[in-house]
Amino acid sequence: MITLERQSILNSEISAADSRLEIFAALKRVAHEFGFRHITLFAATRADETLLSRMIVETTLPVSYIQEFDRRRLLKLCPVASIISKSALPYCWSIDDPESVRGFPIPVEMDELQRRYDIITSVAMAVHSIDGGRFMLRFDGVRHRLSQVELNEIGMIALHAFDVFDKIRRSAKTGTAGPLTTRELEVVRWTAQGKTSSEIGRILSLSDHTVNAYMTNAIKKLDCVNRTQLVAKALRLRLIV
Amino acid sequence: MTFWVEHTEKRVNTQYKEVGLSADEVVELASAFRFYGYWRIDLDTGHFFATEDVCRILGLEPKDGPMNMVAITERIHPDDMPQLMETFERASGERLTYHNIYRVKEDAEHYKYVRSVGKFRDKPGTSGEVVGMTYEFFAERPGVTYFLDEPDLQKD
Repeated sequence: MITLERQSILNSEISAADSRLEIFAALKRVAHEFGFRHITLFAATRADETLLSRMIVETTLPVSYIQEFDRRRLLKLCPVASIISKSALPYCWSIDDPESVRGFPIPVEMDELQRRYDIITSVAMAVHSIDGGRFMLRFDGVRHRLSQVELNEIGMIALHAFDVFDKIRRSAKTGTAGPLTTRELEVVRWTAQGKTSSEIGRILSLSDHTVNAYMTNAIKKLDCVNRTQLVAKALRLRLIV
Repeated sequence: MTFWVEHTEKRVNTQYKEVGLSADEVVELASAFRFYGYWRIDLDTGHFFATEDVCRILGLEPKDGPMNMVAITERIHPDDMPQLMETFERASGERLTYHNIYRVKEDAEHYKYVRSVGKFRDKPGTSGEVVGMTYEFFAERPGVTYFLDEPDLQKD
């Protein structure tokens, strides 16, 4: 199949997806078309995250691989995230390449684990949601490095797929946002994350008084009597995630 | 499933005194062989504070200050999370003692069972707090005995 034809077919499948299940199925097809075995969508939740399993939104990687990766605490040794986060372009590397070609070292234990699971060549790219969420798409498998043309193609397709995924994700969120305004939701979310009113004020560039007013409004709107009830109810109704 | 007991109707159990156990020894026995942590929720701020063992049960790094409730709910089984939050909602508004059992993520694929017992408590000058304890169930098979060394035990 020539490049443009493949891109056109995959893009049609991606455009037709209207659920997370369907968009991930389309991404699996992309991985297959490019000779990869696995596709993973990661969410960059916290800079100090220590477990890979907590970052995974969707993946085809074997559970046993993820468990062993986490058991051996390899995430803190993994050089990939910091490299990917510095560019919007897809990055391709192979653990078979010498370090001078690959551009970064791979810890011995990670190299050994990846080889055992046939994760030899990878492509990863950082993708950003328009509501500020940071994600990473990664393809893994056994194949030769991608040519520049292939890399451009998979980059555009991955970007398109993430855009569709993100629309589905955001519409699911706004569909359950209930009566709270965006600002009230922000204030409740930061409270749930353990921030005080003055800390939230500094984060959102608001006065303590304004933060407290948003909280009071949110408490009334959700028919609560205190902030604990408000936070618990907002989490239960999945107004904040 | 959550069970509720009116605060005033709560059964007082001081049977440990009948066999000469101290309160510390009761805690020592209850918490042997498993994570056994304590927590409190400040009703006015909505902040959740927890001890190290609660963090370990939840698979989160222990930290000073309030915990991230969003991160906590991500560790709880999606079918159990709404019930647990509903428990917090009710416990923060009524003077009740409750217990519930729910599943917490153990790794990428498995969940473990956890039990929490909590109660409303007055705190002068504030709206009060909900305090409680959380511990994990044994995964080991019945009929297996484990022993703990007691290196600090004073010998006569």
